[in-house]
Amino acid sequence: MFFISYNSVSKFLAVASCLLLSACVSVMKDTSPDPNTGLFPTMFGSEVITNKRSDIDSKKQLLLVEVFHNGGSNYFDTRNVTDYHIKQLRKLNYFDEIYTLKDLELSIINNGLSDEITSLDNPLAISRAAKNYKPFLWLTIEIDMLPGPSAGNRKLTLIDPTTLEKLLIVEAHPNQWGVIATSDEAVRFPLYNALIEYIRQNSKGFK
Amino acid sequence: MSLDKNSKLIIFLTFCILLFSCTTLKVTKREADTGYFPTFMKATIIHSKKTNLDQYNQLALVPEDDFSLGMLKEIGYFDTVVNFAGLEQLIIENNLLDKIGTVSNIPGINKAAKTYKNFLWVNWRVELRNNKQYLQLALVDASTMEDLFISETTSGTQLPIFNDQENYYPLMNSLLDYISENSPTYSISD
Repeated sequence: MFFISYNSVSKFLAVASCLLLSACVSVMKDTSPDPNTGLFPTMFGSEVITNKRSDIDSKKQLLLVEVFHNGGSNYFDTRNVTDYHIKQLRKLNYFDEIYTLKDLELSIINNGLSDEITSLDNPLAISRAAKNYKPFLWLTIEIDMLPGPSAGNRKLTLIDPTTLEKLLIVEAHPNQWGVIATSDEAVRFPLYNALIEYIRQNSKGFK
Repeated sequence: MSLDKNSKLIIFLTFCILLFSCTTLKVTKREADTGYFPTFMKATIIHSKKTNLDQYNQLALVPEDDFSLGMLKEIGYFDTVVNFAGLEQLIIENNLLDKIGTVSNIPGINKAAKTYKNFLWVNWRVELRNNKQYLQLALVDASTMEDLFISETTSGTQLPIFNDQENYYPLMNSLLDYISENSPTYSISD
């Protein structure tokens, strides 16, 4: 537009370079929770959309993690991102095992259940796996790639697959400061911290 | 930068259009006096089959967006309106998990209608024809996958950019007409 002056451009550049220079910005960096608070270090918050009480201790033996892009899924490989999330979620020391969809498929085959449980490509099949194989929790992280104000948003959803009920939905909005930030502090750690808070509220044994 | 009179007028008009522009996918109430959704436009009916709709009025399946769910609930004809996640939960609640494999494809939706309960499936279709994009609303009998009703509106251009006043609300009004014509119990102004 006509109204973007050099002044506002330089202001934007100044803010952007400050963000880049400051030491706290990291992208998919191996980080541990702060031993004092038990939370991942970030100054960003997240928006909790759904929070339902549930007995999660009975299902903590296995967590299924799935990462997908909303839009543009053909162009982006989610395997590295999934591996990163699994590595970070292991540091919670709450879930006994954390699987990808492929790990779960292999585990079902190795337990001789492949006749009962077919392709895990839809929610009902995952629900059947929880019923016939063993109870678990299902965590999805959705990355919004569609152009628009929600681009870059991350949404974490914790689902009880036996009922397909959504227990926890949390969103991180990196655009809230007017700058698209994709650092761990802006879009990943706030989601983990919300999950840690949820486990604290619903688990008896979790520290 | 100095602008001549015409440029100023064009900029002023553009701002006016931006300020009073149409809404997109906004769930709204029906008008109290007419019972229709607020719009001056009408949709074209492509296909309309005479049937007794009351045999299906217990359940409607809509796509996974808040707009379709909200608008179908506002029509107030179906006892229950669910999206795919809702249908999956109904299947689990009714212990049909071992009989119905998936509802993520057409054979699966058909199986759910036969095993669980017959329902109507409302879906949107987009079509490019004569260099124009058309948005269609289709009502499908899930037990036979037969189209009962199809109506359409156009964006007027090659771009599939649709809005409520010209596209979504007229289509919803045509669905209201179809339901009231084919249901002995439903009337729009109630």
